[in-house]
Amino acid sequence: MRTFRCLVFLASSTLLGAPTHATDGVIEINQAKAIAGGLGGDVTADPPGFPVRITEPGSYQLTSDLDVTVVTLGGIEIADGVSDVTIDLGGFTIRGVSGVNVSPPLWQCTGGGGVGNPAGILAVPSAARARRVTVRNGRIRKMGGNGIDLGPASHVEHVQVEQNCGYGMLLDDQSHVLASQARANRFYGIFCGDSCRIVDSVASENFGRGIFALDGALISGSVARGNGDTGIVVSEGSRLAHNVAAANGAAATAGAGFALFGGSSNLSGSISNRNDVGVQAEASDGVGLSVIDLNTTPAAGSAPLWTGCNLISFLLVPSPVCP
Amino acid sequence: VSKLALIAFCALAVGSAAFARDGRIEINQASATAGGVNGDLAADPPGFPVRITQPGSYRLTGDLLPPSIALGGILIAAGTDDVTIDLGGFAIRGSSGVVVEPPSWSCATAFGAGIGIRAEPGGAATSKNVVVRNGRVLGFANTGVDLSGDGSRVEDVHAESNCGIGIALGDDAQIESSAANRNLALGMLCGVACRIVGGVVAENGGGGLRPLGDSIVSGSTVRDNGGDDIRGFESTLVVDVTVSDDALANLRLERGSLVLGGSITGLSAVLEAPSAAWGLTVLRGSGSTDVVGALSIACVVFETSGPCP
Repeated sequence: MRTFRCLVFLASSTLLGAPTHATDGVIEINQAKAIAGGLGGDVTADPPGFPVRITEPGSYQLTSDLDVTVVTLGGIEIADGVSDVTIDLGGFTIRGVSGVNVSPPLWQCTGGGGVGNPAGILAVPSAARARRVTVRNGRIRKMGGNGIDLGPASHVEHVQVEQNCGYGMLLDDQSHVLASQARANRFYGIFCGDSCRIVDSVASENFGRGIFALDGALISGSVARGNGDTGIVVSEGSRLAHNVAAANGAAATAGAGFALFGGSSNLSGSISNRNDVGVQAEASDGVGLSVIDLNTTPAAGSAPLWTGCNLISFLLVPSPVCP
Repeated sequence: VSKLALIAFCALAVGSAAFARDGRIEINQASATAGGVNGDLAADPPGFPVRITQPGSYRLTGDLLPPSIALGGILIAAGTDDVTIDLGGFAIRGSSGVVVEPPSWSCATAFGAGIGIRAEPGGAATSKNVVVRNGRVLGFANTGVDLSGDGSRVEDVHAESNCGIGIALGDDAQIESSAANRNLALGMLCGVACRIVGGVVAENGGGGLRPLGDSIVSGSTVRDNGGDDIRGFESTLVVDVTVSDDALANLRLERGSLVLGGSITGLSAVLEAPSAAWGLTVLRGSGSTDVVGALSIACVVFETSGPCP
C-alpha cells in the first residue's frame, strides 16, 4: 500500500509537470524533455522532438546528453529574434549520427551529413537573428551540418566541436571564442565575422581553414594544426599574437600557416612551421618576431614567406627573401 | 506525513538515485564500493576503480580512497568518448607517495598499477574528449591523470605525489590553471597541438613540462624539476613562463621554437636552431653555460637560414 501511494504520488507529480526550472531559475534541457517538447511550456512553440526550440530569452542548462538520431534534424534551435540566451552544456554532449573520416587529402562526411543539414545549435538566420547567445562547457559532435551556427555578439567558451559535416563554428560579427576546440570538421574549424576575438583555442584537422576571421579580428594563444587549408586566416585590420600554425595545407595547393588578407594587419610572436607557405601577407601588413621554418615550396608566383615587403621594417634581421 | 518526508521516503523505496538534480551522475566512496556507476554491475563491478562505460557528465560528491596501492580511482572504458568528470573540489587519493630528496626521487612502488583517472588504452578506441576539472589527484602508484585519447582537457586540477606522471594527455589537449608537483616522473606531458596555460609545475623527478610539438606553454611557473624543466619538441611557443632550477638544464626546445618574455634562472637553456627568443631574462646560475645554441635575445630566424648570428 505504501509503495502504491509512493507510485501514485510520483506519477501525479510528473503529470502535474516536472519542474522545468531548476531552483536557480535555469531551464533544463535533456533528452526526455526534447522528445516531449514544450520547453517553455508551449508545445506549439516547441513541438515534440528535435530540435529543441528556444523561444524565450533566458538561461538554459543541459542535464543529459542530447542524441539526435536523425541526420536531417538539429539539436537546439534559437528562434528568430530571441536574443540573450545562455546555454550551459553542463559537461554534456549534443551528438548527431554523422561524422568525418579524416584521411588527408580527403575529408569524407559519413552518415549522410553534408551541406544543408541543420546545426547542433542554431540561431535561425534572419534579419532579426538572435544576438548575444552564449554557449559553454560541453561538446557538439557528429552533426549533419554545422556544429554551432550563431548570430552577432555570441560567446563560445570551453566547447568542443568535432566531426561535424559543416563548419565547426560559424559565428557572426563581434563574437568571442574562448578556450575551445574545433577538430576534424568537414569545412572550416571556426569561421567568424568582423571584430571577433578568438583566444586560447585549438583548430586541428579540419578540412578547410582552421580559423578564419574577417576584419578587425584578434586571435591569440591559439593553435592551428593539420588543417587541410590555411591554419589561420584574417582580413583587414586584424591582430594575431602568440599563435602556432603547423602542418597545414594537406588538402590545398598552397595552404599557409597564416594568411593576412586586405592589409593593415599584424602578426607577431608566433610560429609557422611545416605548412605549404609560411606567412602570406600584403604590403601594408606587419609581421614581427616570429619563427617561420620548414615550410614547403608554394605554388608558382608566390613567395614562401610572404607577399608584402614593407614587412621588413618590423623585423630585427633583414630578410633573405624580400628584395 | 509531510510532503517532503514522503518524497524522501519514496526516493529510498524506489532506489537511491545516481543522478544529481543537474543530471550529472554522482560518484563517491559509497557508490564506488557498491559498483554500477552506470547502472550495470557487470560493467562496473563493486570496488575500485570506478569504471565509466557511458558518455556523460559525472561529479564527485566525496573524496575517493581506493583501498589498495594496486587500484586506480576512475577508469574510462575504451570506446567511451565525451566524458566530463567534475571533481567537485574533492580528491582522489591513493596510498602511495613520493619521497623528494633532490637529486633523487623515490617511491615504494614506482609505476605500479594504480592510476588516478585513466582512459583505458584501446588504440583508436581510447576515450576522446574527456574533461577533468576542479579537484585533486594524489598519491597514486602510477600516473595521476592519464588521458591519452585526443582532445582532452584538464582544468583546475592538482596532481601531486603520484609515482608516475602528474598529468599525461594526448593530442589536441588543453591543461588550464592546473598544478603538477612532486610526482615521480614528469609533471605534465601532452601530445601535439597542446596548450598548457597557467600551470604550476615544480619538484617532479623526471622533468617538468613536455609538450610533444606544435604547442603553446604560457603563463606558467616551472621550478626545480629533476630533468629538463621544459622539454618542448619541434615548434613549441613559450610565452611569459618563469623557469628556475639550480641543477640540470632547465629549458630545452627543438627547432622552430620561440620564447617570448619570462625568465630563466639556472644553469642552461638550449634552443635548437632555428629558434628565437625575445624579452627573455636569463640569469646565470652557479656555473656552466647559460646559453647554448640559438638562444640570443632579439634573434629572428627565417626558414632555410642557419643558426642565429
